[in-house]
Amino acid sequence: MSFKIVKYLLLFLLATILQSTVVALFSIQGIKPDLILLLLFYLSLKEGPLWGTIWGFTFGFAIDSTYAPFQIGIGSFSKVCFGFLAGNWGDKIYLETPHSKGLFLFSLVIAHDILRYGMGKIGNSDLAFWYPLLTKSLPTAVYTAILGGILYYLIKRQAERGYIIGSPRGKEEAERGI
Amino acid sequence: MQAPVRLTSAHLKYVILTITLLFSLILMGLNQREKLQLAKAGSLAFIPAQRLLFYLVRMGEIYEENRRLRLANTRLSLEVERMRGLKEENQRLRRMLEFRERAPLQLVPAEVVGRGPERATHSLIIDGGKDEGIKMNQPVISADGLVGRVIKVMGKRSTVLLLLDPDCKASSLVERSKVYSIMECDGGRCYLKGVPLYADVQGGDEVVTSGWGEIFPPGLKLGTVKKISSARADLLKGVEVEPAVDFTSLKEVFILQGESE
Repeated sequence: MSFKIVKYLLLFLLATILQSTVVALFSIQGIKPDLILLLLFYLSLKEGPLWGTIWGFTFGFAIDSTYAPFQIGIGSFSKVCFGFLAGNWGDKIYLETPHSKGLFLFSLVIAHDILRYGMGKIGNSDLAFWYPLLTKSLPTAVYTAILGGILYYLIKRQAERGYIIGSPRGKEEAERGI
Repeated sequence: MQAPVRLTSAHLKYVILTITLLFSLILMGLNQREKLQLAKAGSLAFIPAQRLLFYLVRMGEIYEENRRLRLANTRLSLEVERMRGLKEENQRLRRMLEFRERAPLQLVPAEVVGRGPERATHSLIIDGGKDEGIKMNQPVISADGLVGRVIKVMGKRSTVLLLLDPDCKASSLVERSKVYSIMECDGGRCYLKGVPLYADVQGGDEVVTSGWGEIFPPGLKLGTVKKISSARADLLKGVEVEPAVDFTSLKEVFILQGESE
């Protein structure tokens, strides 16, 4: 478990750095995919709602305390909900195809942003709600969902071919010495 | 006896969910000073690790930038020589006219080493802190205009709240018609607040800081008037401003440290 914690912490740091550097190169009209939510989505699906909740809180707290100290608590609140829902529903509804996975991710990103801007608006009435939701969140959710769907398809294909260690076919072939 | 334990373990995810949500709500309820103190502790471990990775990721970019800066440095050295001659001439003329030379503002350069990764965060991490004499609420500028103000200072780094954030308001002045107001952004767009309906404000007008607030000195460029809307029933004009600074491409900023002696 401690290896996993270190792995996810490193992945989180990497996602944060990439989000503010390399991802900008792939932005369309200033809209970028959200790598941090993508990572949280992935690990919540993999580890379940309990770890999704804990990592959601950790990611949100780290980002808020570093970049938005006045909004501390809002990021952790929205990411806790995101992580829990992703982990809890990910294995309960039919989400095996890349586009259903993408649609699920799209809904979660929108829900995350509604909570984020909504809680922000409650704390500070000067903060806009609809404008960033329509101009930033909606296109970001589409971009993130498409990227998430593609990544899911690629990972699934690699796992089916046995290229990913730990995948059922990979294990089977390793046992047979292929 | 075992029943409550089993219930808790079966519903552990809900217990953790409730605890983390409650804890988040408690954090939201803290006042600004408490939030800043907590943020300092929270980012203690995160920032150095992030900084290291940031440099690794930006290595290639830094190499190219270094080459470009060397070239620019050579050009600027030649320019400085020319300016030095002009300055001497200017000083001589000032002395002759018995003008008191106004002391220039002291600028501390700092590199942007981190950026708010989310859509709802409007802040930067800069490579400079207490050791460089940076203090809370000092204005941060770029060559294009006002960037924001320092909200958190640590040993070697600081957090800058961008002008785009609703918590970073600036007293402003429309340069052409001398209309005073407050520039405020809502996280996406920026507006001049409290501009009377009869005030002479037109699209394309330059907006600068008025110096009436306690934080920003006068004359720092804020932006340009982009759109004006006014309904007949309103008493005030809706004035949208396009910020002068492109906040997405900031790599280096300057901290204004008052007037040097």
